[in-house]
Amino acid sequence: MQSSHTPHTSPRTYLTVFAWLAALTVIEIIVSAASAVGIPPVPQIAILVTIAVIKAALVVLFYMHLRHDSRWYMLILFVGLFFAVLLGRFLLAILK
Amino acid sequence: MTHSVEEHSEHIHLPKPTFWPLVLGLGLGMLPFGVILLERDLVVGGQKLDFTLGQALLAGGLFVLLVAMGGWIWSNIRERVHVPEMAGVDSTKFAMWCFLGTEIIIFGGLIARVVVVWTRDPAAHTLLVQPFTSLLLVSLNTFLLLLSSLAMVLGLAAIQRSNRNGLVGWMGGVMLLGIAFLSIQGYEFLKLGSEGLSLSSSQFGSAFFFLTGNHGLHVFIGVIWCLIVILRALGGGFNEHNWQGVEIFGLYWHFVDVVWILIFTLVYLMPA
Repeated sequence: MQSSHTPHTSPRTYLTVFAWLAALTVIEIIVSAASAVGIPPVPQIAILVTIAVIKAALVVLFYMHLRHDSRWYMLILFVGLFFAVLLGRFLLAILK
Repeated sequence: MTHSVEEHSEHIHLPKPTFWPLVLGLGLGMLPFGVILLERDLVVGGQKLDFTLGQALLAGGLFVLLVAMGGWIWSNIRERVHVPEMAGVDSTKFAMWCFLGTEIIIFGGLIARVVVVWTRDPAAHTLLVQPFTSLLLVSLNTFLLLLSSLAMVLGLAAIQRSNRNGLVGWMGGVMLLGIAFLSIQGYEFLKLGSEGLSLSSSQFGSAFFFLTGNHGLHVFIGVIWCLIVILRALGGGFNEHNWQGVEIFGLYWHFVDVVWILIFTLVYLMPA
């Protein structure tokens, strides 16, 4: 019972994605330590969040195969994200 | 007409009734009560026991949860049937994505809570990354989970090319990396506890341990699931035509990885 819509991605692609993930993680750690040399927090936060989003997208698109899979799965992902952001906003409003 | 209806109904699969979801609900229901009653003493026959009512409920709830999961997975394995695709969507994978959609909401709320509480108590947050060895440990854990995700997809690629030994080997790697992650996380929890940060020490402690503990529980469940995949693979349960069980587990494992990627950045690496 295989899923006919999941393409066979080559191990080479998986390894390339891993190399990117590892490199981005190293960059993140370096950026997080940049506050010690006086880098202001706002650009630091922007860079860290951008890198985290890129890393999450790489895993979702290549390792979870959403790049080639049915768009319905992508829709569920975005519905979940929408409600997660909504919940986060509510929490911000309540706890602040 | 009757004939065509019968023909059509042959393609509709209704799973057999099962009581496991009810047991699963019971176990899940015990967990929040365990957290609420964590400090409540347990007295039996006038004698105060060494553990609290909350601890007993948490342990019992976790046990019931694991038994229910095992029973449900086993009944699913025994009743292996082909469920046809509809509109290009595989029903098993669709169900898994729906589950992950709800998980996104849960973890989104938990991460937001940590970030909000942390902004009010920056001093507590510095414990997570100071001294440098703390950051080093968490970074190591991040690399372990990234590596486990790589092992996961290489295992899937192996069975898609009918390499069963490759699947078992890579899945073994996933399991070991998951156990290593949990060991380091356990060490980190003990270290933070000795430095004064615990579930009940502050709002930040409560939010932080609830988030990371919840994630750790997901990794633990993933390790058990991985063992089941390995046992099924050893029993000849997967081949180049039948690998969806591996793919579905992979979706779960990668999701746990994605959540950690976000926790690592938003909880550990953010500047004060």
